[in-house]
Amino acid sequence: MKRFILSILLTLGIQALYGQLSVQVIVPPLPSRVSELFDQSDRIQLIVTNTSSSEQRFRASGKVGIDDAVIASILPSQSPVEIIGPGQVRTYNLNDLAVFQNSIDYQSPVVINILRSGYLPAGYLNWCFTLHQADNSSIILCQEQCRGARTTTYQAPVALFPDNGAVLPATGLSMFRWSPVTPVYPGALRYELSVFEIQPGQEPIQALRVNQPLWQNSVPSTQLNWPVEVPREPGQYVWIVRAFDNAGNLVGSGETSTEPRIFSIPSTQVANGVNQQTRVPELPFVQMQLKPKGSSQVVQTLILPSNNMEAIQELFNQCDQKNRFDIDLKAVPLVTQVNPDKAQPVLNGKGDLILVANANGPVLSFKNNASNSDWIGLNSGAMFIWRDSFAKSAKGGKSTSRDRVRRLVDACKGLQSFLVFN
Amino acid sequence: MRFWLLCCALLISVCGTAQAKKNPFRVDGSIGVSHDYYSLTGNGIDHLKNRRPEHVTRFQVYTRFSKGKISLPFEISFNTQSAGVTSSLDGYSSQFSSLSQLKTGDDMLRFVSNPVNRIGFTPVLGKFRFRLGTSTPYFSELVQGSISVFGAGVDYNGKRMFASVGYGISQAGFARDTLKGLAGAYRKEQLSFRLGIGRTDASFFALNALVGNDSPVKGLLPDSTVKPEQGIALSAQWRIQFGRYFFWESEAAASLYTDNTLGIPFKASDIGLPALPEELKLSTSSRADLAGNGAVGFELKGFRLAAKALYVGAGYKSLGYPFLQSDRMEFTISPRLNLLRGDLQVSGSFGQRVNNLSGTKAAPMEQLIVQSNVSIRFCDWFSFSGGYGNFGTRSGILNDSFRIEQVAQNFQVSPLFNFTGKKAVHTLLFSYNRDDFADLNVLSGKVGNNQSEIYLASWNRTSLSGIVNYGLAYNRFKFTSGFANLFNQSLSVNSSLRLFKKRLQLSTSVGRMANLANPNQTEDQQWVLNAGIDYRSRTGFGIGLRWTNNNYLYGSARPDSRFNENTLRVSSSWQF
Repeated sequence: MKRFILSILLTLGIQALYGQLSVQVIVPPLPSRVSELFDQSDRIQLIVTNTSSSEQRFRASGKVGIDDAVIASILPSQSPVEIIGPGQVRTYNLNDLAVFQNSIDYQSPVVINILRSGYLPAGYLNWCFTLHQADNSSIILCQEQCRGARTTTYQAPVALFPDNGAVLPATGLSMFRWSPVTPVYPGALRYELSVFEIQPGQEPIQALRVNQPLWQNSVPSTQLNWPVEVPREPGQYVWIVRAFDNAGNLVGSGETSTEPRIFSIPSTQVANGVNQQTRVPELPFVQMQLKPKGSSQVVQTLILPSNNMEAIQELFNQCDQKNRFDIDLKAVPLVTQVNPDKAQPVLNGKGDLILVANANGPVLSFKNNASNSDWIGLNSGAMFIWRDSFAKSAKGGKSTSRDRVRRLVDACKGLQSFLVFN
Repeated sequence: MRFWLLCCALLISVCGTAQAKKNPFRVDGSIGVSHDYYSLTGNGIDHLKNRRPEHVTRFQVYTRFSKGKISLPFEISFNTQSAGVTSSLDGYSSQFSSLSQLKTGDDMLRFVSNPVNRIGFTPVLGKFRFRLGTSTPYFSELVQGSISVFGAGVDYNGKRMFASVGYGISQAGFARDTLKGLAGAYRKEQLSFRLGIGRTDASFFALNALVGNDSPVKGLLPDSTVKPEQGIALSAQWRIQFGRYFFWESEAAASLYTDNTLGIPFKASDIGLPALPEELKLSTSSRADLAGNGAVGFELKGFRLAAKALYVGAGYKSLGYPFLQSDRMEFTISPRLNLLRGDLQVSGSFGQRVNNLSGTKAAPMEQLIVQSNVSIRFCDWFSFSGGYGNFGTRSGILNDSFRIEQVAQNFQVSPLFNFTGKKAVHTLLFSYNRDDFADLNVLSGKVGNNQSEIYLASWNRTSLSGIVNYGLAYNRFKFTSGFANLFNQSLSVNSSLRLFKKRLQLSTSVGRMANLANPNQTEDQQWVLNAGIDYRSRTGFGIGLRWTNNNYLYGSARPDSRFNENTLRVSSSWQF
């Protein structure tokens, strides 16, 4: 019986103490980015009301958790003593009551993940606080109050098409596609697509950073046609997409745009035996055969990806200007495998020169039969097959691929601007 | 004026060097100047803005002095563009609208280190290659390779080992300019290091490192919204070649990145880590994470298979790849089959991408990419190609009305005929392309769905002598969707003529397009004219002029609206 009475008295006592202070927690919408959360942690407020008739001295304690995992604990001992007079209502910022940064449990697996990513995990971020008697923190002065909100970060758009190295037609429909911001964004979004022209001598990222966009459109959807008003001129381009919310803020965590994608548009001109009206995969290569004047023997065969119209034209000019060669030029079918017995490509020995047209444009590779180590793949440069007879007429015995390239350059000055080799 | 003086001085010095016949060095290269003029005029075109700067002059020199194992390539490329250009993502090219604004040494340093310009000297002395000025060092796919820097570096390429070290500025610091709406920027510096054994085209092992740091430039403080960043990325990279038919290459990387070094400081000891050097300014915006990639390839007579994987942790960031998207994993398998001595080729690519490895997003996104191509060469005059692609994106719970699920499919067939006569090659190409995009969201799907069909037919006559070439192309497409339709037809004619031993080339093309978005309206009409003249002398000197005119008359959708757009490029170059 005594125990029963004691327990009732104790409960009443606690209730009486609980009744002395009340606390309300105000948590505004907070960012998921941890650094911003730290910066804005003072926006979390506690409104404390002293409902008793006497002055109260108290300390605060709290817990911050995501779903069931606790990521920070503010102990009463870490909180300064605050004094509130009878009947008073006071508002405290979180920073008045604790140094939030010191309360984080850095050993928690959730916190370790946060430190890796820089963002809070998706879930329900809950802030709970209570107040303790300043002299004896085991005495709780009010009921714990919690507030929280769902957190998530958003994936910036991902570029889908045209992919890196794609070749778009010079006319007709060319659709740009990207993935939407995920997960579903609570407000309206607009996607801004920017296309930059890569000027001669520029690198794609350089063009992206310093050029004026050739065109830029904003749409709510995740696809956009090349505008019909804008003629497509031959060249290389780079495109990105950025997502903006209604307030004009960039949306996306970690990164704010798609990764840049590079594509090209072939020339519409017909010149030097190469038709560029169509997309490269249909007509990927041009074969140029050089014969010394008055001779029927082919001393050199050049294979060029036909998407680089300027290279072909320039090569043709350079080879022909000294009038040393008769030049036969013809389009090469879609896939050509050079027979090593008939034409001996020598970069570093005997091997196969393989022409491939794939989704990324023309690719030309050389596979050395002995070491399998010599290869060149290119999308925009010139390439050559070296005929045995021509190699023999060159100086020296052993030669490296670079020497041979140099001699080719000598034979056909100006070519070096278009050769790509390691 | 200073610009032209500088151009002339460089031109004279290069010409003088190249023409000195007694010079023991061999000199080759090219030098060129071009000027672009652009104009846009019209009525009712408030929705349009200039697509290019009104005036841009570009100057480019590429030359190489060489003798034996010594090679001294020199590259210079810079341009001026008119003031008032709304430029780029970060407003870079607006820093200096003309060289006359360069008044101090600091101005000059910022000009040459501005990514608009490239001024680089890369001498090769035996196994050493020096990088002075602007260069774009490439180490690997995760540490460094996309950003140009202005500075100095050296590469060593030995038979059994290779190494690189370099320092450079990837972005010059500049102050905020409220009149131009520029937030300004800190100076971005990069220090890079690479050491490896083996040969990069065979088997090798290498260690890569990149340290990037933003620092303020005295008197040129950016806006307070611009935060200085700092980052370190380290990686181990290797490639192993097993005989002729199999290779494995991979890279494992780690980064420590601080988004804002002025943020609330943070000590490594707070999380039980050993103390880090003071130069590493950790803050609450710091993050550390891992990334890795791998590729294996297998090749056997006529069959090739390659598989790739990529993992980028949510916190991984290298300042050498500022656009790399994080928090994702990707797998791609690419088989290729060659049959009938290469006359039949089948290739494909199957890939999957997932994000949200960190669990920071409320729902993950999955992407599936399937592409396949087939190419058949039936005979010398007939070949055929076809392809199918499927891109799918899904995020959210399957039956949730807010889920994201989109599927894009593309199908294409394209026969090609090549007839070679005595004087010319005739090429006939036909192509049909169908594209379907399905938005499977129950609420927005009907609006987002769209289909398009494209028909193309072209004929080209190419003379074997290369004197006269001409062609004709017809293109028609129809795009239908829940929110907009577009019907387009175009016919274009193009030709080229070469005279004076092919030194002078005249080329022209005319295209007429009709665009219709709504059958109840009259169509938009467009004429696009291209014309060009190019002349190249026996000595390698060339001049060129290219003009593009775009005349667009809107239909009843925009009554009384039209515009005329002209782009003119005059260029001169010399190859020696």
